[in-house]
Amino acid sequence: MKAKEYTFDASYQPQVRTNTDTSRIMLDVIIALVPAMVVGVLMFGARALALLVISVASACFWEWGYRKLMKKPNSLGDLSACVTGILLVLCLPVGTPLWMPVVGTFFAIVIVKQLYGGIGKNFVNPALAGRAFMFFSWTSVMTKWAVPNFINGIDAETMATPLSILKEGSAMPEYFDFGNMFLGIMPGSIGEISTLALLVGGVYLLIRKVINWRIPVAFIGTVAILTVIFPRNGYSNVDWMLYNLLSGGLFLGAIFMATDYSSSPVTLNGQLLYGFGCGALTVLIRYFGGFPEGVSFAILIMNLCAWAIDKGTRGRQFGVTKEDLKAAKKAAKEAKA
Amino acid sequence: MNKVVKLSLILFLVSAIVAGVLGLTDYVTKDRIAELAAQKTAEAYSAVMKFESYDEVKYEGDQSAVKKVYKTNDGNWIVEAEVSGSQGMITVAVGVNSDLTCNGISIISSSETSGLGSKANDDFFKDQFPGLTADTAKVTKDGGSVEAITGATITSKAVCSAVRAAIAAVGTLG
Amino acid sequence: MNIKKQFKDGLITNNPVLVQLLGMCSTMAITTMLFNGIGMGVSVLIILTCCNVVISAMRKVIPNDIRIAVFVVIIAGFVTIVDLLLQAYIPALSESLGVFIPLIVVNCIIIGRAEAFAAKNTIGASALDGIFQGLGYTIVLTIMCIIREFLGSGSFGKGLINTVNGVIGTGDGLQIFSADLGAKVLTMPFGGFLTLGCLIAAMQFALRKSAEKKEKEGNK
Repeated sequence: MKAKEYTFDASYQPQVRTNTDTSRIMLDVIIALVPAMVVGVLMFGARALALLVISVASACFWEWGYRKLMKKPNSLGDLSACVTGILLVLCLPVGTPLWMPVVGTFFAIVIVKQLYGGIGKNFVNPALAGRAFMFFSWTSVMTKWAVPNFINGIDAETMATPLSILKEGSAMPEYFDFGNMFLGIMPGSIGEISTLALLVGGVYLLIRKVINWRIPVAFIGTVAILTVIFPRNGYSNVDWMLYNLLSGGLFLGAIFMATDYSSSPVTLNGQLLYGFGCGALTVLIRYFGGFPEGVSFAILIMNLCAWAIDKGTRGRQFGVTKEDLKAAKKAAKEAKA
Repeated sequence: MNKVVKLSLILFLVSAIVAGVLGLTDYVTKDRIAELAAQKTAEAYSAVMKFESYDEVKYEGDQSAVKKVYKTNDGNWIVEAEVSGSQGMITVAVGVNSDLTCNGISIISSSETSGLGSKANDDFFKDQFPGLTADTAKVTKDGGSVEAITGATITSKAVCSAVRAAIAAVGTLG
Repeated sequence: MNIKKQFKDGLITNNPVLVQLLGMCSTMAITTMLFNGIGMGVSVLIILTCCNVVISAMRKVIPNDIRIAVFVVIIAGFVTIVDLLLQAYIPALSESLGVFIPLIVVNCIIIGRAEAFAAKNTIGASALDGIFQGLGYTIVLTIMCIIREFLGSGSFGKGLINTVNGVIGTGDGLQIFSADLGAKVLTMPFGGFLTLGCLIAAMQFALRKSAEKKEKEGNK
């Protein structure tokens, strides 16, 4: 019998050994998304569940199929395809035809993720890219919002979301009070409606140290500050801010999507800057853009800037002081001259 | 011989030959292109307004977009307006009823992006115009009732402005 | 001159769009329906061949210092001729391609081939080069049109199939599935980038695979 071969990865100190691996992190993300999924299914019924199942299954299928076709090792085990599938459905309206998530996950998994080398190499968040693809392909479907359960007295199939009411500038109907909006009793994408459920998930991720506070807090904080300073359409400052925070995909985006490891900056200052950029762009798009919601586009745009942000906010080498840097700069200048 | 003179001479010669060939091509195709353009204009006019005959009316108002104005035998109007789109000028024929509503539009010529702005000549876009007034012939974003072409807001806005200019011009004439 | 090698060069190993990455602007802009793609491809093929022949014939007369200027004048001449002819005889195509016909003047394929090939080779070889490079361009455009038209608006052969009274450019094409279900994003400029990117990736993948295979056989 052949002796088992041990291999060691040698790298420089200091080294830390933990049991955290990709699949554990992804499992944590899935657990953190459970409250949002539950609220989504409660509010929108079995169709939301069906969409969820189809999306996750198709995401896994594309991941498996592409790796198989290209003769690469199977990567289903890291659960990242499941997370992409779930996140994609959470930002779709419930009226989406059942086959559409299959196309969306194809774009997300095969084109955005696998063609660039698989997990860790995607340059934008795959789920958001999939959503953007679907949004511009089937705009009319993607902007029809079904009436959720627990809202009575609406005699129609679809209704306006709080965000589109804000955009039009008409008065907010009574059934959108802050309590309802916080709990998630309003129309919107399947997973974005309940701020409470998303916050629970976010706290879990913070405790498990899957994400840190910088990106979500900078993101949401920027939106809060900008909206409280610049209210529009005759709303009072605080009302306008609260409506803007509680409606749309802000919390879903800030907690679960902007924090995607491979498409967000790694430096700590960079993360603050990135969160600030996401927030500012969200407000700009909501105020001046053609569509009522801007979270997803803001994150996609900032994803593209992550590389530059990392470069610009790179820390100093340990032991190198400011004076050293100045001296080096001066020497380089003199050498040039 | 001076090198610069020689080079200039050769370049001049080549350009002259090319220009000659171009002139010949233009001579051969000129009539047919003009004929096609006239045919297209006639089609565009009859698409925007029913008429048996029309007379050209001189327009010297301040709507600089308006190029030609015709009055039909029924007292309605056909206006040819030229506005700048996203890629170049768009020439639009606008039928204006005597009550200053739009009767229909037709794009005579444009160089808008193929597949985006070029859709201004598609029925789904043109069919939104009959019945509009100077106040409603705007894209929805500007508070009007015209749904803009996806991905071609500039073109949509340009066509709307042509319609408004036409109605305004007829308003001062009629 | 080796005709077979030139043929393979133009269509595959040195394809103007997928390998040399020339003429990308028009490739992404106009490939929304089959009629556009074939029309544009054939226009470029004709212009490219004519320019190659003329430039090759004049290659010993043109002084090196002003060759680019002369090339541009000749190219602009041919483009304008084709533009006028299209306006006169295929107005539907001229209207549909709009500004992209005059823009062939600055299409890098033509000046690129003039500089890289026609200025150094015989008339016959240059003519063949023009035809094969033009074919390579046309084929890529056609593939892109078919993909984008089918996935984006669910149809095939718009402008060419189901024509009204046999007038070219008037047909609605075969509607394979409802246009509402098409991924509209593919008919937008983004779809052009996406389709072209995927095609280039596939081409490079295939080229690399065949090179590896050749190397293996060589080693045996």
